[in-house]
Amino acid sequence: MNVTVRLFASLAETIGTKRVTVTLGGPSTVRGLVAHLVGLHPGLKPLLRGAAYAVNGEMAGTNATLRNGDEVSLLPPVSGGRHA
Amino acid sequence: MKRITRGRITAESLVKRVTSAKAGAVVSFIGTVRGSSDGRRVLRLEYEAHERMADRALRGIEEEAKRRYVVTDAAIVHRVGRVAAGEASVGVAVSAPHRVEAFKACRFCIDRIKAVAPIWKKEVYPDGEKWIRGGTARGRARRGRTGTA
Repeated sequence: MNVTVRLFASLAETIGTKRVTVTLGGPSTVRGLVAHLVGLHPGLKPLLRGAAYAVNGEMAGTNATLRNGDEVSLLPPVSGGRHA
Repeated sequence: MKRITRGRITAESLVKRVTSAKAGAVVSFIGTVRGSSDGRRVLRLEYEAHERMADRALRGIEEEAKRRYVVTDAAIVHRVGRVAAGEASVGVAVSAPHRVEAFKACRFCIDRIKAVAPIWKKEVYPDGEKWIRGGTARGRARRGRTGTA
């Protein structure tokens, strides 16, 4: 099955694109997809610490099951306002 | 009016949106790009958002402000793309029957935006650039949203 992955900020710069289609061999979860991506792009790993995920625009846990055609967003921690 | 915008943000347009005869106070907040960070000169910030989710997050903050405080109306707008030092990157306006609640609700809105909206910023210096990492997304999870790694 195919899922579209959207990446933002440092994640997108690390792999050089904001959007990528990933083909997965069988049923998968957000966690499985992330592991697959980290396998392809090890540089993502440290950047995903504290990240959140969304499936089709809704926040999702790492156990969420993926379906063919889903759009999965990898959301790095938000900037916050340290002293803004 | 769109909450996520590439255009200029002005307090005037936000204030206009929330001003009403039901209110006796309007408080606005404009966040601007500071030209320095940790001693480095900052030329501009570049904001990136998951625009659909960010719009929904900002709308949710407006609604939460109306539930928590005695507020007539609230409006939030955030820029994406390049924002030069000195320009406005975020704006909040709140109207309320009385000023105390308007100040509190405005403060609540800007604090929440910083904490939860899926908007990221990159600082651009004369000799480089850096994405600013927040803390972890744990705060979001604690408030009932799952999805932290």
